[in-house]
Amino acid sequence: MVGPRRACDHRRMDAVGASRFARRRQGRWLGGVCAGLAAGLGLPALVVRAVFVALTLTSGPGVLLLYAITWALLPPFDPGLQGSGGLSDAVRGAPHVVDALAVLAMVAGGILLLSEVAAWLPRTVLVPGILAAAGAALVWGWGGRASGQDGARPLLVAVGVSLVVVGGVAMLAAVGSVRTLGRSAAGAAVLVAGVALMLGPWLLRLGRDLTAERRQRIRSQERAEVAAHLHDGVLQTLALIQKRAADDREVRSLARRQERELRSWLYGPDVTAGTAGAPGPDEPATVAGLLRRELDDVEDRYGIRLDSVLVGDAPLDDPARALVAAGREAAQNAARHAGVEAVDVYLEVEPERISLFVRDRGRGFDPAAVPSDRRGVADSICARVLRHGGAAHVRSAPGEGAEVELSVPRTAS
Amino acid sequence: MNERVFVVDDHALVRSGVRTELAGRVQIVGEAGDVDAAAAAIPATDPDVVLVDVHLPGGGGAEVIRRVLAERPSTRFLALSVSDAPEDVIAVIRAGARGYLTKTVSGAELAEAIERVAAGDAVFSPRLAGFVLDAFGTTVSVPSDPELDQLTVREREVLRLIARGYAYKEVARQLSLSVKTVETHVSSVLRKLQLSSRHELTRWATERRIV
Repeated sequence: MVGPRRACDHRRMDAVGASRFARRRQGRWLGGVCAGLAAGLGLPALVVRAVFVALTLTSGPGVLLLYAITWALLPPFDPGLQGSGGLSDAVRGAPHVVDALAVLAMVAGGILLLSEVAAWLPRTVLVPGILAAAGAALVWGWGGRASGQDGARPLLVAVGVSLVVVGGVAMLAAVGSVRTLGRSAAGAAVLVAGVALMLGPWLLRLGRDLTAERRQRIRSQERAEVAAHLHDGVLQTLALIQKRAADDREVRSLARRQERELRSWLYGPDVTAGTAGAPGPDEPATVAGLLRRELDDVEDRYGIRLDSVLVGDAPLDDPARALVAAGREAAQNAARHAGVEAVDVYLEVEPERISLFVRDRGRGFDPAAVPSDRRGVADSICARVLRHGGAAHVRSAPGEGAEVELSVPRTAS
Repeated sequence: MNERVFVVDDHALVRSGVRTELAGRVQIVGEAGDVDAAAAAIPATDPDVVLVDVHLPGGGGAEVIRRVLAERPSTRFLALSVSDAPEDVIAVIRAGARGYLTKTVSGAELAEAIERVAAGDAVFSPRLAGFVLDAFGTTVSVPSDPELDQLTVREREVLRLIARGYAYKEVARQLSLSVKTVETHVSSVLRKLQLSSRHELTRWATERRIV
């Protein structure tokens, strides 16, 4: 389990302030409100649903409006919040189109039915009232919460506030004259300003303290995570090294593996620390990612250091996969036959091709003198990339090390 | 040749390790464990080359380089770090270091690099060469200053070979150049790296942090 690596971002804060009630996406019928309430209250979802249905049948369509408002008020539930402390990107990025449609339908239905039932209420009051209520629901539902889609939040709040203002003014205008409204509004404004002046500094300080406390909590969480990682990885490796101090190769391989893990955790792309050592079941999505994994594996297997420099990256396709497989074979050959401790690997992704170089300064060999029954180089290295329209060169001479140069063309992507 | 070398690293273990590895090859004139101590002691001890770590308490290697260069512009710096993070490497190079090596480098290679830096040349490890190729790399954009914002074909060839693990001597042989010419190309790349206003360079470094 790995959270953000260095900077604690706002995702962390969401986790800290996660609420107990939330809409459920799993097992929902409509907007997930009943399921969410049920989960929060610890009741079966069916009970809550039955109550809603019964309420709707007995007390009319107002309940539907209630449902809509509840929907807006409840944050969307994300199982990721409970465990990892970060909103999963899939849910984060998922469009809430379905939810929006559902709530729209309910509000529209609510308005129609309400105006039908409450015919005695003049529309000039009713419609602005519903508008204002919807705006308030928006503001309360999305504005005061840290979670949700950050991009949409200011817009939603702005829409909500304007709905409340427009609805309120329209309603008041329908009831009384705007002029008296203006006078009483001025009075109310003075009152509000007075209260704000009195309470302002206190509220401000409260807000600051809360932020500071929250930051402190996040920091200590980060620290605990670093400590846990250091303990798990580094200390255990150190213990192993002390135990196996006699076995040079094993010690070197242990140290190298730990170095790699720590490095990828500190500086690398966001790989989960748990799978960093052993290659996971799923394939990385890019050439550099796959190559890095293959090289790590060769390092572990042969106790050799592969100094890799990777320039650029590209999505994986078949030629790229063949290139990486051939490169792995070349690195393995160097590890087995060259008699060196370190091998240089260089990958460069250019617009029209991908090149890979594997170079050692070992004992070298005469490429012409390789017996034809040793098919390793020809089959597993050269043929692999040639099949995909690539090129392969092996340069070596006894005593001069060896360099395998591979390249494949890039398919249009 | 016996260069006067000053070592800046916050780990005493590393300082003594460097001392042992370089024993007999160069003359260690002093060492410091943080930015303030280094900035105070370097001008006083008059070293030819300062080995500086990227991460240091009090502002990091880049801060040491900036402060000492302001007072003593002739000082030459070689960054020595375990950090692989491009933004760290680029930061010390842009502050004025003439090269960058990782701490896995052997004593002989380190001594050779010190000699090279003392002579005013640049030292590129394969990794640094890779970073530069990446930063000046494939993005097609109109450079604001073509002289500084682009690498020549030759420079690119030299860097590519260094990234593949070739020593300067081997690069020279491969491209049928003299070692001196290879050094000139590398120094010119270093100058571009330090002076280029190419915004890709900074954007690239910051992007890497997020990726």
